[in-house]
Amino acid sequence: MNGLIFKIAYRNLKEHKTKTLIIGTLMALAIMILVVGNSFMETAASGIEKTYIQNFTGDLVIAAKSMENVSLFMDGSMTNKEELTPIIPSSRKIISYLDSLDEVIAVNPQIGGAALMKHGEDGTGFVMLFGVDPGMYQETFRDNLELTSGTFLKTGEEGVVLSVAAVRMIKDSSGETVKPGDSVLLTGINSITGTKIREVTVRGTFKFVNESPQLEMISFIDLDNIRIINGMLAYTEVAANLSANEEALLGDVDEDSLFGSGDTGLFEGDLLADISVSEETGISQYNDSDYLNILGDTSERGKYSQTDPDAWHYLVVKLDDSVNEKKFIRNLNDWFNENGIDAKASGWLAGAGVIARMSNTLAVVFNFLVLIVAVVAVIIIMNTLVISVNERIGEIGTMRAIGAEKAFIRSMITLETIMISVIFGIIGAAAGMIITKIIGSIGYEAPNTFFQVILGGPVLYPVISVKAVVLSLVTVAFVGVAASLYPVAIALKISPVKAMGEN
Amino acid sequence: MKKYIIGLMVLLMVGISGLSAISLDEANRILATVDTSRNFSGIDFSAVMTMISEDQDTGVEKKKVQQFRRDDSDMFLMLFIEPASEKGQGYLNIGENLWFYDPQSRKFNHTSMKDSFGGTDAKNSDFGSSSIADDYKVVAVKEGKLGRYDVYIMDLEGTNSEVTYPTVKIWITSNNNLILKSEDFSATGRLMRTSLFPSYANVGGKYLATKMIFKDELIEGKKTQITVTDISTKDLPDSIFTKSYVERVNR
Repeated sequence: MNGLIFKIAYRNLKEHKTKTLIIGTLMALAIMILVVGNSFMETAASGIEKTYIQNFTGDLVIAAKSMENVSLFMDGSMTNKEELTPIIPSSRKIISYLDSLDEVIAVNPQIGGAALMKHGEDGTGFVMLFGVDPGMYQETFRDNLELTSGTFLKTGEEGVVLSVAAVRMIKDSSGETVKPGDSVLLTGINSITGTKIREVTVRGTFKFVNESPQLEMISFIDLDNIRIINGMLAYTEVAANLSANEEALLGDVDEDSLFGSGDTGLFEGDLLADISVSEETGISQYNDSDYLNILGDTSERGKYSQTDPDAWHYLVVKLDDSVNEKKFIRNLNDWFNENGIDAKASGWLAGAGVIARMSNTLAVVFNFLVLIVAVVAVIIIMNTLVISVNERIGEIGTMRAIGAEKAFIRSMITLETIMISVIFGIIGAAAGMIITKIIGSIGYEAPNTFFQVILGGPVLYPVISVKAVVLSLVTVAFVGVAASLYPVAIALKISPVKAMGEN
Repeated sequence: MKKYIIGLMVLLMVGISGLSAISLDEANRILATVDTSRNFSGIDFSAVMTMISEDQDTGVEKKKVQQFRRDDSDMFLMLFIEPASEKGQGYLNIGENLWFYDPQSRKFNHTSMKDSFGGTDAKNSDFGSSSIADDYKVVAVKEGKLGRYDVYIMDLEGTNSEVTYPTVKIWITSNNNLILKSEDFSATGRLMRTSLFPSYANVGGKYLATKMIFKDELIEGKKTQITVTDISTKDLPDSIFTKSYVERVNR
């Protein structure tokens, strides 16, 4: 019986060559696009994951619970002049706990920041800064940097190691090349901690082994300088002592209270006061040497420039390959809760920021587009099959009249569709694999910076994704079966007597 | 009925004339008098400014700044004398150049008039000589009231890209041309800051705002109040307006 259905289905396909080819070509094309597209997306995603985990985020990132966006740079608060990046509470306790865990390979405490850069008279630029302990950083991220001049930071040494992008900015603005031993002025501007200027020695220049336009922006700086730039100091000022008048203007001040309505108002009658300038007090009595003592006692100032050695923005953690990251993060967050520590652990993607997340979003968008293509394909294939069934009304009616049951007709049409799906699906998948292989051997060069970021580098070498091939074949089989449902329903409604009459 | 219509028309005409009591030319002339009355021409000026900043995240902070001005040469120096952590920081302006000095690193760096002054809600451009008539032109003017004061309400548009805010709306008293209020807008028309000047002093015929309030309109509850005291118009040594003075005073 099965052999008979197969024979009839094969004969039908052969007899309707044009329609078979149209449907088959559509399916093959869809499969090919799916295989190539998904291979591209998977290679890019795994490339980005590899680039970020190895260079920059580790397997997980720990930050203060109050930090809304855990991104280590760009889209986080470190470039925002109006906000302070929160400091991880109890960082010493967390590091000590992580060190005691076998699953943890390395922990890299880190501080983020940003500064305007000046070199010589005309060289200017902007740098994203990672303040790191050189020893701990290099233990966590081995061989991820390629020095182009000088050396990396050494423990306890002040200095900055500039990225090639920072060097390029200075070159573009002044025509001069920064060399190890030069000094740069770094100015950190934050509305809350105020402006801080640091003169820092350039120890070297570097680029990341796995380059990306995003990583290019990062330069490394010693901890003391980054903490001063960010205002992460050991001592804070005592609370402000205010007069009654000053207190009166705190909080919400409405214009009526200031300018009065009728005769009332905080400054009623005082809008313009005649001030007789006293020539007997203050500056009026200064001689030239008094102007040099205008600051009075400055001995306390040094105290407020001491940095807080426990102030960190992030702890970047590398785990053993065998560790289930999600479970580890869950357990670590539980430990934070149990110990009352307002910190949170997040996966590498949270630390990688908006651009890495954008790549993931694009994969979702691509799959959504594929879904739309699949729906269109279903409609076209279904339409073609319906026409085919209508052309065969007499034949199907006759088969029904000589004893073919509904199940026989259903099996016959479904088998026809599956045969097309399998044959042309394999052809499409093979074509997709060949195309991916060819592009994989020559490489796909990103046409612009945007694509470089999305693809995780300047050139993408896509690798055939087995998952994509299997998924594509399953999708097309599903499309085939779904497309046959309506034509089968039409075929089953055909009345044998009427069909033979028409014939 | 006829009487009512005539009455209504009269009221309407009075209303319309009330909206545009002065021409744009007259309004621009008023702006020029604001500059003249606020600039200390021919004399030096010094004072102490007490700045109290409020922020929901960081609480209340108090700073004291010694201000030196020589408006004729377009120079000013602002030296932080409180709190201890910021003591000695300074902004030195000479003509087109504005430097910030950090006593910790003993370095100067160029900064912009558009930047925030010492982390407060005031901008660097809020200090020094006034050039509102050069920097802005009046595009609309009407009469109104602010509290119990009769004011001209003027819409100003920046005449150059150096201005801190591209468009500004100001309330100026109609009897003595004192700016009571200013709303500062971004290029896209978003209200960025509201400034209030509820108290002025007549210092030798010049008007000086002795109380200023700057409200950040983007962050709720963020505000800075400034009180000016210890005013003096004594001649200042030329050396005050030099980098070398700022460095020496910090030794």
